[in-house]
Amino acid sequence: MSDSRNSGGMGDKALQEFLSEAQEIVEAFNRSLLRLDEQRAAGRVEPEVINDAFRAVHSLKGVSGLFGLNRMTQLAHTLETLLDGLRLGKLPLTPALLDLLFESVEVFHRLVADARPQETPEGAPRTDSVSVDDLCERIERVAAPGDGKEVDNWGGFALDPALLSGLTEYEEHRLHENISQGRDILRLLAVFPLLTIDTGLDNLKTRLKPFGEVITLLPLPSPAGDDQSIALHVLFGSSVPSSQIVEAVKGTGVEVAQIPRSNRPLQAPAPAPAPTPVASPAEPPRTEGLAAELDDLDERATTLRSVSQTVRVDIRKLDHLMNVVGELALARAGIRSVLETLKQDRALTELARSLHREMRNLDRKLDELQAGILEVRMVPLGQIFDKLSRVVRKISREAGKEIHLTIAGADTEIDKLIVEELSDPLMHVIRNCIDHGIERPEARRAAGKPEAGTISIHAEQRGNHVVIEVEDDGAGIAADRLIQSAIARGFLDENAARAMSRREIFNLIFLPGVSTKVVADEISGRGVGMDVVKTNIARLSGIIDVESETGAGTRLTITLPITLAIIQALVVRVAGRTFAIPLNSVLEALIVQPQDVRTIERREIVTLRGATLPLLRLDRLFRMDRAPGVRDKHFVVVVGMAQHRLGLMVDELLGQQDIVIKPIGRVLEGIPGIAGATELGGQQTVLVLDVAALVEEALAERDAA
Amino acid sequence: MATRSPVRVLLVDDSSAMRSFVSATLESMDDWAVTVATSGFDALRMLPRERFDLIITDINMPDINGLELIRFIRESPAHARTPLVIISTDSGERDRERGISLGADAYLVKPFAPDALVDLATRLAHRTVPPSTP
Repeated sequence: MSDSRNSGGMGDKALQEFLSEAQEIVEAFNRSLLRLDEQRAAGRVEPEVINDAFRAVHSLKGVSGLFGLNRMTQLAHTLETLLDGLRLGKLPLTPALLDLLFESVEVFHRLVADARPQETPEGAPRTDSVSVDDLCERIERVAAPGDGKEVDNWGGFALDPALLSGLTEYEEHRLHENISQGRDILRLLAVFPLLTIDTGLDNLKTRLKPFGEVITLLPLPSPAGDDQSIALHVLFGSSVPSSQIVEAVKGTGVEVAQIPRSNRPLQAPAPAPAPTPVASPAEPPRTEGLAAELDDLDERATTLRSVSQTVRVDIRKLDHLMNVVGELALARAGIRSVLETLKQDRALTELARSLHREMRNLDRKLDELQAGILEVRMVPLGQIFDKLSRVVRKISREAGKEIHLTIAGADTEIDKLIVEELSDPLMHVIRNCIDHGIERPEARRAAGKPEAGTISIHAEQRGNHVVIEVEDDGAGIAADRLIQSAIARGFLDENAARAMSRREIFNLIFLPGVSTKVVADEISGRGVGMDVVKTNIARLSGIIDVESETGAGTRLTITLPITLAIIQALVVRVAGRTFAIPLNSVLEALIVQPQDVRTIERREIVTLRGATLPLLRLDRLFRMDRAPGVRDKHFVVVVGMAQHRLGLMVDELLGQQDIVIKPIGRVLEGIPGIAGATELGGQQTVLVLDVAALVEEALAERDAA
Repeated sequence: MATRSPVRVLLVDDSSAMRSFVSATLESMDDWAVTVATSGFDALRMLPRERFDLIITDINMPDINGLELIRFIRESPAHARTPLVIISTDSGERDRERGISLGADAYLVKPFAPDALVDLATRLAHRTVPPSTP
């Protein structure tokens, strides 16, 4: 949505004034959220802080609308509904919800910057770069109107209807809450000189604060002749006996009156929290369904999508459907071979042609079905990123470090199963960044860096892969300590260490037990090693790589396939056996003459467009017997993961096929380079190559060479 | 009219941008003068001393909210009949209704066009009986 910026006859000056006010409001909003975050963690959320946050977005909404800042109005409006639900007790305050609120702060900042008239060079088109639709949609999902019905029964308190009529919906809710928490409701009468009412009232509120909640203030008509002072009724929910309140306001001239309660339950002792006719005293009224949903969200940081969308589907059902599609593809391959046979027979040409037409139709629909199911499985990575930003807030606070988390590419989509499995490894990576990467503020200052560290997460789709980079601007990995640690654990000796490349050194971090920690001053047992991260990523057919620069920071790059459910594969033959290579890793296939293959440092390579391409002979890797003899040409399938390239030497290319990878039996399990098995038409079982593992293997060889 | 006394408006809103917008819009008309109050208390300070032809108030304000202000105004003999407009938001339906039942004459839903404000304000302000001798 783009903003019309129709200032309704108001000039730039008014807009400027609004924008600086907006800036202040957003900052105040942010402060309220930070307080809420802390209070939530401490298990004691003050309702007035929620109300402050509500009022902030409420003001923003009203005023941004006047200036035609539609996106700001839209976001403020959406937040207003959410916060209204919160302050009226219709929604519980969950970390997931707080994350959305914090995200909104960022977006508001950008919207305010976007709206400033002077900041774009003259004539340059304005970039309405920030879209709020997605955020609003996510907020709306959690803010779906709950049914926070409150019975109009004031717990037996004889409250003056005139008094009640001046309450806003929120104040009325607070009154309900105070009553349902078993508090006594007091009415204080205070008289202040008109000129000093603000300070007088602040003083009174400060005195009252430890004992309960000021629900509302009701100004009273001044007695005739007195226009120098004002009388107020203060409605107060008190958690202590009224005598204590009388003591607290002693000397201020404030009168304290307890509002009488008629039908108070018989057994209940006076000041104790008593069960009242208002439903469930301890629990704020809320809808069970939504509350449960949000708790659930909190637990697993699972998809926000499922809250409001109509269907929730078990991922296993989708897996089953995917298998069926895979089997349909096999059936199609079977029909196709029948078709080929028909084509051979001249007498059946007409029949073959009809079948061919029907086949084409079947192909299209089958592709559509497959794409549809794949799409259903896709969810935006933003889901885990949201969870990460919460973790960053929490851990950085614990660690006493200030950390900015920037996220790009949250809308990059990936298979739901991968997202779920990715959550833990990413969490460990981030934890490592905070614990070991980002230095303490003093150290950063001394190094001439900003005190606040930055962790940036960047995700994007590259072909059939998703690449996630996690980068920090911390101290970098101490290579020497890593080497010492690896030597101490017996992974290498001093000589081997000296021969290692930088990349190889940093990748030592993925070996079990190897770290840069100085064991003595670390809290042990915290977190999981990076080896576990690597194992988890590998399980998803992904690879993880690390680069680091001392003093400047560390970057981890995780490359993952978009889906594991169904893949297109290139079917090849090597030494009389058939293999499938996932097509998403295949870059091209070449024919190579034997004389073009050169051997450098015991490794076979070819030169491809000026670059060296390492080769891997599958028959040697899998120790297969091959009939002796020199071949006149080789096929080389070039595969790649991220920036790495590898040529797989094969005898024959058999064609492309959709395959559903099935787990392999015990016998083959654990053989590096094999991802699983699949069936091809004609019930032939073939092995699917694990390209990530093969690339790893080749990289290791290269580094060892 | 022989002598044209200005139309006096009291505007109560805690947002400075909203105050600017409303006062600039109303004061663009000849002989309109807007007095602004930045809070309910601010308004309470002004009400006993001055008379107004129109009062415009926000509802969501800290400490003394717009509803309480309306109740107070309606209970003060000097202002019991002063036309009163609520500035509300679309989500504040319940509070708006409550304001009307407390004696407000009309409401405006944010965001509103300057024309809508001018239109409503002129209609209401001219309803006032010319002030009798004080």
